[in-house]
Amino acid sequence: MSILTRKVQLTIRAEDPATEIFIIDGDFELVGRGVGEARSSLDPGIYKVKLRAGVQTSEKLILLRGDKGDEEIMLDAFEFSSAAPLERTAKTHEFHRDAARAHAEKVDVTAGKGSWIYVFARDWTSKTRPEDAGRVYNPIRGLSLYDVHGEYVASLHTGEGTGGDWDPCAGCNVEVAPGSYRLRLELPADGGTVERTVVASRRWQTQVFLMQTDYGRGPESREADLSRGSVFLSPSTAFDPADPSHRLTELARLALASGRHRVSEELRKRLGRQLVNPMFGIYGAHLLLLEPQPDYELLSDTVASLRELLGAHPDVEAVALKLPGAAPGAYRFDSPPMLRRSWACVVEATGAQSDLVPVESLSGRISTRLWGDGSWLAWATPPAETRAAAAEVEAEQPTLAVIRDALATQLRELRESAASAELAPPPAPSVFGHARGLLANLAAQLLRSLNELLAPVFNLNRQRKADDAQVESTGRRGGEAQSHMSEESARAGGPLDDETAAKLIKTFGIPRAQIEKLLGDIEKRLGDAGKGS
Amino acid sequence: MAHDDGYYAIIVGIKYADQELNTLRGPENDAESFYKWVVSSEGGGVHDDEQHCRLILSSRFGGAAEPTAARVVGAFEAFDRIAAKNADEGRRRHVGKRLYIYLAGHGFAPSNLDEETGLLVADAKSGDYQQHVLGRYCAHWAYKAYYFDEILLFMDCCRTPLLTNPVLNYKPREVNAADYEKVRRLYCFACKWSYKAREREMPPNNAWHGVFTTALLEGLHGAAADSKGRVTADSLYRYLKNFTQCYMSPEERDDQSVPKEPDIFYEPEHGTKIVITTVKKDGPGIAERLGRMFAGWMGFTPPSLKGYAVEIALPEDAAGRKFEVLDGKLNPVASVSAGAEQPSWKLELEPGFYAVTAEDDPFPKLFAVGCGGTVHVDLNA
Repeated sequence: MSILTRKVQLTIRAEDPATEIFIIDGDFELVGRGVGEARSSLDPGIYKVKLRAGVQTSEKLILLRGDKGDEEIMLDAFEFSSAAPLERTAKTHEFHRDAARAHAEKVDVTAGKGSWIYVFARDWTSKTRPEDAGRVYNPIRGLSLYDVHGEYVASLHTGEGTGGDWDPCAGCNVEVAPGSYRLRLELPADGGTVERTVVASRRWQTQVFLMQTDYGRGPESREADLSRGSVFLSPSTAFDPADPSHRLTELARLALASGRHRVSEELRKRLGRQLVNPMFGIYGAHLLLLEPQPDYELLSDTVASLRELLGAHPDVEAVALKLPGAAPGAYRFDSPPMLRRSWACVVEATGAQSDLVPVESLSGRISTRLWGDGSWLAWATPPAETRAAAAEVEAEQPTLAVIRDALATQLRELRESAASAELAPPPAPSVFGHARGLLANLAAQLLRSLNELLAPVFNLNRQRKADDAQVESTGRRGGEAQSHMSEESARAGGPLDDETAAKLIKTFGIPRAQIEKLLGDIEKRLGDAGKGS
Repeated sequence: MAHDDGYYAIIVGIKYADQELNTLRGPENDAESFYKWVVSSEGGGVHDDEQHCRLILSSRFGGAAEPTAARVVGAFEAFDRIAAKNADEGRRRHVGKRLYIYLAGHGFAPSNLDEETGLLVADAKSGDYQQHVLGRYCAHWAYKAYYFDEILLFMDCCRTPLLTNPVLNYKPREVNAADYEKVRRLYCFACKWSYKAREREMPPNNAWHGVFTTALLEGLHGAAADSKGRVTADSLYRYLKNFTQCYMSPEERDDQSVPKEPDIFYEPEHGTKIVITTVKKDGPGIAERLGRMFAGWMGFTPPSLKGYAVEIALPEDAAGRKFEVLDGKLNPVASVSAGAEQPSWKLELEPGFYAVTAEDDPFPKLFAVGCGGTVHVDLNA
């Protein structure tokens, strides 16, 4: 084999511009990378080219001889996995694609005018029919649509699934008035219901694609994987499995799910004022925010385009909150956004603007009931809206219960500490004593970790100084201290200072108004308990 | 690597027998394999005594739901006492040069701490994950305390997110050493946040092991060595990124929802400074390098740092033809003139990328070496 020794300019291009490319040499060193395209000046040799979309990868070895001058390699489309039955993806059947295309065009249920919500659920087990095929069920079972107030809109289980006895699929297209809706899944074996937001924008069809997952053991436990899946926004009631913009949108979603920190030039060109694909725009906006130094100008243009395309949309407004100098707008997140990352933007922003998420709104009520581990914000249905509402007690909301217990115990400890005659600072704990507490009793340990955090809330330090001064001047403590503490505690339900609020929001991951309400509730309970004793 | 008084290890493997959680068959095997490596002089160099190496296996507690979080944390707490004793005796509040932490079992990831991973301890229950050890926290605690100069954390656990943030949102108190940033860290997790680790029966004896740990130990035993024979943070990272997936089952490799790479963290400037082990002292010298080069030219297999068996199935008309193997830089490393009725060519190669070609064939076959077991290359395919 003839080998030249001069450097070779290698250019690798992926058919999908959102695919990450890595070039690795024989010492397993990374010698080139890019998104959509990677260039590198290399010695002749054997290299591995790795494509990545999210956590999905594909690899091939290439030989760079150097006898043909510079080389350019075009790689075929990467067969990644998608809940949408797209062409040239890893988990799709032709009968899925045909069914998805056909279902999107017809309206199964009319519940309003102006936009459409299309849900397509399917299962996938293997490329060819397995020998033990034969289980028949409808993959859209258990799914229904509700409005933001919890009013029933439609069941999506309107017909039989297709696909025969192997990898069934089913779809339902509901014509609705523009707005936010709750896609609800009734979990098997009376496991309650879970929901996520689907936003219907005027003149757009929101297309939701869901794969199946096991919620327990046995065939009856298999239902739609609500917190994962794919979403497209189509300007008409049509789904084309070969549409390249769908691939691009999915790759952007996968990049976002994996927390990728770079946006290629090819993707940038499709954002901003050139944006035509709104779902890609929403993912792209989040990807821009992940960059070490976000391009806020491009982000601002993208937000503007999204507003023009969709009107008011919670995910767009959530991203807009991250723009520098964004003035508090009139938009309120009464209903949650679709994406978990959008929700994180909203929750963080409540630190400066508490009323972004009204306490009694759907967003406020679901903030302590998040569910699932996918990219989409999902939650366990608030108790007042389930069949078992009467039986469900607050203690069954583990997140809320833990937060409340944590704050309550903390407040109690602070009160006891303030009332104590021993005001000398405690000895520094051993470094790992703190950890042992956590591991032995997480809830209790959480309180300890919050000690410094909550002290400013209750102005404990200031009170201690006041108490010290009082002790010095009068030699008294006790009744006055208790009284003083009550005054301080009474303030707990009031506004927090911004810094403390931001810390609590980050700690608990819930909106500011919700935290303030909890503090108020706890203080009231403690106050009532104090009266009783 | 000789044994070093300054090296310590905490190794935990939990299989959850008789508990509500699904029994895992890999973690104890993995923990024992890691233990064997870590206490060997060719491996981790940790003294095999109670003070230096704590091996905590769930099956060693007579059926009790052990280890608990307190027991695992107790192993870390012992370092507090050593550091305090050193401080009392007028020395630095310090413990040693290196701490290995190896944790294997059921795991999860807090949804708002995407760098963290929790190991469920033996008294954890299905749906109630409050009994756990936060692996990164434990490593971070030692880091902040500057008890060690190097901290190496390996966790073969799932990282399925939980949403009960308040329970899990715990961060170490920053009350420790002022100059802790000098500490070098290497944290390796079996998979990225929100994904699941894998275990399966592994050759040659079909014992159950975690995919990540199998790749990790292969790398530590030398497959990840750089050209100087050193397994560094950099070289281990490269090996695990490239070869972890080859220890998966074919179904897992084909399943695009299964992540193929572990999640690894270290400061880039420490990439070559963290020398985990050296598989060949000082690496090959100039004479040896020249010898190997010459050996390659002469057509026989040179010695290797970590040799892997390679079997190349020759074409039917191979007799009398010369076949050559080129390394990743296209240097010839081996050649053979096929004899009559010679079905295959067996040789040993170091980890890397290779091409095998016949002298009259312009299209070489490319293959990678570095995964455990024999590499099969078929020139007929």
